[in-house]
Amino acid sequence: MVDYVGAKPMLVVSLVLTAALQTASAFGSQRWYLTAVWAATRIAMCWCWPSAIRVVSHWFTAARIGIAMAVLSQAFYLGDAVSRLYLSSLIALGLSWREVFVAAAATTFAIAMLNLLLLRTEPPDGLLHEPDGAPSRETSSSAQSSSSSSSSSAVPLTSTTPPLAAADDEDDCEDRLLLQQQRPSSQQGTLESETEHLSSEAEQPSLSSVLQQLGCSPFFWSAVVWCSFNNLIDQVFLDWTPNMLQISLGISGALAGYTSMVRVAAERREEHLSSHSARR
Amino acid sequence: MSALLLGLLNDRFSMQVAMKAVLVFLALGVAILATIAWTILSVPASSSGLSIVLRSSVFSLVFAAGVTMYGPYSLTTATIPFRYAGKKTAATVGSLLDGIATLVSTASGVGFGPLAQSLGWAHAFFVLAGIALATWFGAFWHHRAAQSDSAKLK
Repeated sequence: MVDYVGAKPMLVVSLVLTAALQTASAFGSQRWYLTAVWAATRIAMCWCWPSAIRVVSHWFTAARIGIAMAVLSQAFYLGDAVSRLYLSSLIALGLSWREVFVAAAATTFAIAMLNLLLLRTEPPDGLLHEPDGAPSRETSSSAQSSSSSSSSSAVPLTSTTPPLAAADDEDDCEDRLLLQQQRPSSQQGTLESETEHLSSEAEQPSLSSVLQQLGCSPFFWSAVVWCSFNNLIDQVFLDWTPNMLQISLGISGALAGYTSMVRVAAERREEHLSSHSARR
Repeated sequence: MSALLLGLLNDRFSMQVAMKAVLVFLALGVAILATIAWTILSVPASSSGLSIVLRSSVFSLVFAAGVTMYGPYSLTTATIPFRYAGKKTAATVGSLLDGIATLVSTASGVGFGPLAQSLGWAHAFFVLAGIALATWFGAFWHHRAAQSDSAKLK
């Protein structure tokens, strides 16, 4: 939906829905109710990450996308840690768990409004340039291998002949698909039939054609297998390492939490503060 | 740190170079997790506690394992969709990739608890090392699939 409706509307809708569901969490205490509301919250939140990917992919050229995505993915963990510290401080101030949910909802809604007002999903034409001075590998290779893109090292990504248009990176499948996306139609040969739906710059490919190509792509399925195992180890390592260390080494919970970094340490703090406020 | 390093390698050199670094990171992760498991198992059950040196070593290894595992994951969910699909459909591919992976890992994670409890918590790190090994093979398959796709498209 993000690719077809747009990143900004989906991001704002996602955040507003999340805020509404966080508020709803404060008005019930039955297990089934909280389970249902939390499941719905997770569904509402799931549009945020694809929206972020789409925004970043439009703001950065292929020469910088790696580092941009790396920073974005770290923001996910950093934001998680900061939000836990923020909510812990609210508990420390004496707010009940219901009030904490309402405060979290208000914060989420404020973030949604900020995105609505300030977020620019695409740069203005001509703004997205390769860095001046030392040319990137794309611009330098294009200058050497193609006359069609040799006029400038600062070509907008939105141009029909972007810096990547003639990049000579034939061994790299991903680069080839990206190249195919950005080549003028006159330069496309037999590759077009295999990649036109995924790669057309002129029009958005239909969802069915994208799914069809992904379904028969070893590249995609190998990424799914890799990502699944990596996700599993990420979840297990992040969530369970403190328990494993605590039980197997006999160390304290707090120390185990700090060992597995801020997130779990914050969880320990939340648990401690929750029990403290409950006692009060 | 590892995510930033992989992103830098991807930008400065190519995705293939970044993938080779991923394989090195994951191989290190397997070795580190296995070392943690071996270290924990080597402590006698009757011992009153760990020495400060051993404890510091385990903490350092846990930190190092985190470094080797989180970087490659960020590459799968963020950079690969863009490199594979381009900006027009990066969000679709990224959400499919992450969505399927989350479902699979959630289902697998349910089984991890009973497994760890039946084997003993010290052995859980060996299970983690096994998962890391499977991750390495997944990344290796992806690396090869990228090359074969290139060959097919030529």
